[in-house]
Amino acid sequence: MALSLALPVASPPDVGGRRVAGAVARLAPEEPGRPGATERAGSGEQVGMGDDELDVAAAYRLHGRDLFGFAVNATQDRHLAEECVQDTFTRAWQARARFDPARGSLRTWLFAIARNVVVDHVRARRRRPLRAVGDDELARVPDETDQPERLDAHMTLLWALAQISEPQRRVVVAVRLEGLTYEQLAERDGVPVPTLRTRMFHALRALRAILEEEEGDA
Amino acid sequence: MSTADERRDELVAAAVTDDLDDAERAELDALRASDPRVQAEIDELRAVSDRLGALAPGPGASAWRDDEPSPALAGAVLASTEGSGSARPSARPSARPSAPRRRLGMVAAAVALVAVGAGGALGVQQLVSDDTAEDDLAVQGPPGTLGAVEPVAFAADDDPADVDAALVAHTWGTEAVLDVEGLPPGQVYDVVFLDADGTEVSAGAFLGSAVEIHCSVNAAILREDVRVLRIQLPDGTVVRSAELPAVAT
Repeated sequence: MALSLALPVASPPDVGGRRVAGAVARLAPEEPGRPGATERAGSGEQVGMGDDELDVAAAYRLHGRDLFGFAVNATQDRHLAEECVQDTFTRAWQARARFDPARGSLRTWLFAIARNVVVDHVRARRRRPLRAVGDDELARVPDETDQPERLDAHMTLLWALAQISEPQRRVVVAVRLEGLTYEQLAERDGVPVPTLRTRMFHALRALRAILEEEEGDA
Repeated sequence: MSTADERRDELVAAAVTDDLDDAERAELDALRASDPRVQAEIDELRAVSDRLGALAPGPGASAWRDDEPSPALAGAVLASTEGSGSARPSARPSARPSAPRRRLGMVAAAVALVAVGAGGALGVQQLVSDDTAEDDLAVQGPPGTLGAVEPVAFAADDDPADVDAALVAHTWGTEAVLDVEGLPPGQVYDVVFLDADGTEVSAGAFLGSAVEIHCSVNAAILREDVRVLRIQLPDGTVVRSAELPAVAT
């Protein structure tokens, strides 16, 4: 799998038999999500774009938090993560003429840039002898000097997880990754089990769409 | 989506994550019998779920950090994308800056304190000074002008502490740039904006310090809606307050 993603992004994925924009497919019907996540590729109504110009302030407001979420989980370093987000918007600004809203949402495009930026930063940090994060945190970021494919797979999963809605991600993280039962999560978050299961369903479908789209581009 | 569809989705998710009880398993079997796509979907989603297992942390550890970006990051992003909108005057590079320079720009715009001598961070006096030759400070205009620096006049106070402030209007909100000297070290100070109704909108907080500090805080309220800038203690005791001129519409 290639680490570099082609820009601009490819066509939206096919989800559940419907041809839809990637970001739209990542939302459960009962969860409208943040405004930025509802962009529809090809609609000409790209939030964060105005008069064919990238509105960085609007784009940051809508997607900055999720981009930071990806970066901080990928690097395990807040300062480095903020630098990655800043670099992402810098690269987006520099490449704004190449963004084609007919081919994908601004959100998807920014996440594609962010992935390349984060991988670059993680590799650069690996080359430096002095590391700013604790051993325990660093151990959670695979070292590609041993297994490059592990770093790639790790980044891909975090990247996909960062793109789904927060309620969906909470269920996946709690139940699938941290081993809570739906009942335990329902008690913790005050959300009924059927709702949590439905969120898990839509989360997994969204993740499948994101991963398939990414692997189709690679 | 119909209730039947929701129930189907729920059962599929429960099957993928091995959470079915006996009655639900029988219900799912019936669904499978009537719709072969159910099993296909379970298989597809289980493959995704299996892949996610690579992210599982050790026992008791958290698998996902929900950290929030610092309030300063928005300003740093704008500053690093020249011409994209209203950039913080002190942090706009002319070309893609080096990593240390970018970090400094973020620090300059941060809620966190920047001690004198750290270098590069422009304080209020520098921002409003007529002697400054920085091209960055070219944006001028009446209150509410995007990117322009607007000096703030606090009401007279007997407190010997020296507090200067300026505002910068942005498309995403309002930034307050502060120079502070003489406030007790370690004391928390909240910076709030008040709108026409007197509703407080927090812009952040800072700590008093033994050295002069320069900091910048941001709030998600447009300059045209801000009527008062206030620095206050956490219990609401006002330390400094300034009535702000109305923005011409």
